[in-house]
Amino acid sequence: MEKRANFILTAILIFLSLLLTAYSNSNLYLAQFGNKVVMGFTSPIAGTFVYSRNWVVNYFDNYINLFHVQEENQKLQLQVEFLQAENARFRESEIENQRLHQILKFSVLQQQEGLVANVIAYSNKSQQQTITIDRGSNDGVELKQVAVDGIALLGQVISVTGNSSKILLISDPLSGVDSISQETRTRGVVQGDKENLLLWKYLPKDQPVAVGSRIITSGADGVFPHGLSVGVVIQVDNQRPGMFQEIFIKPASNLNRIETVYLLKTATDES
Amino acid sequence: MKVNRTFRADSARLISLIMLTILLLVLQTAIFSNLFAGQYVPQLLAIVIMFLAFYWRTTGGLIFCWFLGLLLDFQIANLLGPSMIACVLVFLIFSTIANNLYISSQFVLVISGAVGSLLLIVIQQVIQSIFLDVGLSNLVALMKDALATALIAPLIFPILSRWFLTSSKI
Repeated sequence: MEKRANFILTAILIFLSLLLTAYSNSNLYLAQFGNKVVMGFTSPIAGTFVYSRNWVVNYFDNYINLFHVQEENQKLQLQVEFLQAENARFRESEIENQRLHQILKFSVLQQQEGLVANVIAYSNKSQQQTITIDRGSNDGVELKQVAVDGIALLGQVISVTGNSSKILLISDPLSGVDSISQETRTRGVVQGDKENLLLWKYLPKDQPVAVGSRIITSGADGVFPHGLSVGVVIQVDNQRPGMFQEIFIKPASNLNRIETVYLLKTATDES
Repeated sequence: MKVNRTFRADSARLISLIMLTILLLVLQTAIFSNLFAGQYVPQLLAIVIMFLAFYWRTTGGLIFCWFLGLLLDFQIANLLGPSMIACVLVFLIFSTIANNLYISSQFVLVISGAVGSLLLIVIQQVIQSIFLDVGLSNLVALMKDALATALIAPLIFPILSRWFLTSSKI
């Protein structure tokens, strides 16, 4: 009798779960609301833990560094002189670069306003590829805001609380970024894949892509602005069955070691 | 009078188990996830599920595990449901084999921890892949989590046993 009751209870629970899955598949509100509640508990503790750990690590690093300060100082002075010379060369290159851009009427990336945030928590890599940052709606962070590291794309904000936000990295299989090859202008969708690589999907076999091609955002998906660096093609397989090639991309930024992110202002913010 | 006292004791035990579960979730997501940049994260809730499967009545355990799954799904903030089903199934698997395991042995706890962690994530991701266009995580990442769970299970299990095995089954 008890076995029968347990069987019925299990069936009811699984049925309820499937109903919830189907509902949340089309409507993310409930999942995001629940996540806000859970993050309300976990984010402050995670933040405190990461700050404390960094403080301890920095303290010991500084202490050990004191032993070699003078020697290092001399080396750094030499390095500064070298860098000053190099800087002068780069300034020349920049002027030349701007001139060439004007000549070719090349679309230059626009300077975008944004917000700097520190990473306070990493997700469990085997379940999802997200990071939590120490900025939230109180700082003006909004859903779908784009996170970058320099000009390399990192991901987009998927959940916001008062003082923290969660960013879905482009290495997550659920992330999709409309992208183009900088050289051939071939277009596809970049998704996360295993082993910290990205997969460039939906590229027909008649559109050849070379190893080493730089991939940038196309801006066509309406989420990520045009011209952000996504990565470099490292492997192309067009011998596999089916219509499309299998192309692996190495991300432009090291997505395992993100400490600071830059959130770009959304179009609605600017307006 | 006696019934009333037993009910109160059981309620207190249930509430403290809920508090401990939330504490373990916070530990898992806020502390362990940040130790090795998201790798070697022990699935502490898998250990709670194992404990419930070994010591609780099936009815109470099933309902508790279902809510544990809801908590995990909220934490992942994606689909609601896959972790719930995974928790219920892992509970059923362990409660089915509970009578054939010598759970006082540390070795059994280590193996159970690893298997429980693997099952929990694999089932959750298989169900997720039915609804979304995603594959399973790589095996190495899963094994790292399973290893961490296996190592920590013999530490967590005695704490759970000491706190919650003072009166009859719920």
